[in-house]
Amino acid sequence: MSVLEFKGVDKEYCAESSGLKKVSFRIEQGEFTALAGPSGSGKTTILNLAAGLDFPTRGCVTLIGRDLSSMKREELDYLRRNNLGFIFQAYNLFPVLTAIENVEYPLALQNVPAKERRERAHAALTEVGLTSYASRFPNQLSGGQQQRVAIARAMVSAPKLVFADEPTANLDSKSADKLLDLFSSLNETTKTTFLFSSHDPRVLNSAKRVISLMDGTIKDDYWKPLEKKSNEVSYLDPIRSEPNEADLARIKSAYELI
Amino acid sequence: MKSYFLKLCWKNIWRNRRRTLITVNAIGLGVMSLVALRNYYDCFHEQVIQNVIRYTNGHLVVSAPGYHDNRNTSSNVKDPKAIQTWLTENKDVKAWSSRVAVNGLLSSARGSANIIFAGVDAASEPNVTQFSKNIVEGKYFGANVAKQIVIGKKLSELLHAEVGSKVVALTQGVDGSIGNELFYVAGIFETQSDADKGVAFIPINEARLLASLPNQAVNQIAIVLNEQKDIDRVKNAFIKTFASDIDSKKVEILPWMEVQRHIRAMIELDKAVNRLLMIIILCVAALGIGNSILMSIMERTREFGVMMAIGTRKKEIISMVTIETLMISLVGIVLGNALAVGIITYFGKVGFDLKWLTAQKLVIDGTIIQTVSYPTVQWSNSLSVTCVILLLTLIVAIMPARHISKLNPVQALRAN
Ligand SMILES: Nc1ncnc2c1ncn2[C@@H]1O[C@H](COP(=O)(O)OP(=O)(O)O)[C@@H](O)[C@H]1O
Ligand SMILES: [Mg+2]
Repeated sequence: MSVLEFKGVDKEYCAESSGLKKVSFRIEQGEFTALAGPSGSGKTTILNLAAGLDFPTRGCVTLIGRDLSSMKREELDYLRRNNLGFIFQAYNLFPVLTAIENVEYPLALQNVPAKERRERAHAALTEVGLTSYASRFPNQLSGGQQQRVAIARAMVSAPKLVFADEPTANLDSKSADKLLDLFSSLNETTKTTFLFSSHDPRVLNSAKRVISLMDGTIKDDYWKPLEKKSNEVSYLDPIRSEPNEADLARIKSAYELI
Repeated sequence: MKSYFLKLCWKNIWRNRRRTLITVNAIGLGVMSLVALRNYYDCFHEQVIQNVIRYTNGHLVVSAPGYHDNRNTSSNVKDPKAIQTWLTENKDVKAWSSRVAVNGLLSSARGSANIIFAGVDAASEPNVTQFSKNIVEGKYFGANVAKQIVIGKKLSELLHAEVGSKVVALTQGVDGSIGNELFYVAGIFETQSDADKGVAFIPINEARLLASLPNQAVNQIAIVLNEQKDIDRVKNAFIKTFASDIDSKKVEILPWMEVQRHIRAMIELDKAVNRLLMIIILCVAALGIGNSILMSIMERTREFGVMMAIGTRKKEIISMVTIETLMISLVGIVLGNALAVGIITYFGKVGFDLKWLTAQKLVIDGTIIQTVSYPTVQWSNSLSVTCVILLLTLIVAIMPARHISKLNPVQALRAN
């Protein structure tokens, strides 16, 4: 059974903007998938629809076997609370809470008792290598550290899926690499399904599958052969079923922009 | 709500420390002034009431109908024996005293003045009014009370009379005859009120002679009760017992607030002003809280988006923001009450004097209003002000709640 499926999804915001057109794909449990595409291509829109934060104009989104458009708001809230982790580009964390308190948030929503909450949050912080930063506030952490706290928060309740919308966009290349390593090792150890959006070639590099978007349609959806673990970053590395020069150039220019 | 979220709320309200402090101080000052003013007014009014009761007519007055409006000596109760017996036997009555009042001229060798001769019973009057405590020279009435007069300080200065001086009273009786008596000054009192220059006390029998009233006649019987709250009960019992006398317009009984209508009106006016002030202060507090919380949620739109994305329900966000609003107002309420209790306790010790605010002495109906009062902490005032502010806070919290309920998570996430 797939954990996430888009079937002929259209999303129209208004007459002008494209949103999404005829988007269909299916993601299985444990996959590590990147949504690639330039700004405005519809990555965020897909993640929002996948999380039930927004609804398609046409078509059907199925998450963990449930048709999201048939669910009540309350059910959607609990579905997100119990099954999803979400990481955004920046400002994920509550500035007034320490790292560990931030990580405790989803558990508090689930009414996990304080002691267990603390323990699990601590374990999650250990997973992302930030044990010693537990009592720091977000503004006392670097961008990469903040994102890792966000990962710990997304992972702490052992969700089925984690969505990450451009998680590396605000990071320097070293922090971005570390973050991606963290993602793939978490994917391997926990078998959590990851779906990223990014126009960062490094992200595409570490993903096992890339869904490439352009103007709200899927242009390409390919699997990469088994990774050879390499620290060398190259846009040419992913071996594609069908190399696309134009796409590559766009990725390159986007990369140079940041 | 779980302590985790309460902590989050508490931390959230201090995000913009300055803004929150301004709001908290505004509420605090509002609460403080309301609680302090209410306590002050309550004490002041009580003091005025006690003053009136103790220096004029007691809790209840029995008189001939209309006497308090015309103050005419001829309006008298001719045979009060039954009433006096009833009062003596009534358990709620602490003391009563019969009086006769007649206008006239008091002269000494050095001057004269138009005054009221208040004929009192030297034995019972001190149980009812406090003039005996205001004697500054001499004594109230000596053992042999006949021919003795107690005059006010001002009057004594006017007449150049001292204790022991001879003075002459000249009056017109109810039958038109002229009364003329010689008195010896037994004592001089000082109340700082109009009484000091306009009233002299003489034995009630002397007053009856001066006024040509029959032997038992009285103009008033002032009654002091054990408990102020029993005014209505005693009054009703009296009305029941003396129904025929009342029907035949021989007698009436009035509570102090009907005799001293001006004072009653003044107190009502004070209360109305206080209510108006309360409304103004409440509006300011509401604006402060509303402004503070609205600004705070506008700045956090994106954060609400993140909260919703990770499974927080709108209802939960609304309750958190409502709790934040209540927390701000509670901090203000605690601060305000603490300040108020401090101020009241301080002035309760040293006394609060309105003198510097009043252009002249406060005298109403010849009754001096003490400007100094010693307020006491009354928790009922703190409680009622607190409840009203909390209620108002909840009403104000509807605004942010509406804003959040309209929030679209996707748009919230795009906000910064
Ligand atoms: N709330 C919205 N209202 C109108 N247009 C929108 C809205 N959200 C997204 N769009 C449009 O939909 C398209 C896809 O946007 P988005 O999903 O944010 O792309 P990406 O995340 O890849 O940058 C863009 O053209 C964008 O302008
Ligand atoms: Mg986007």
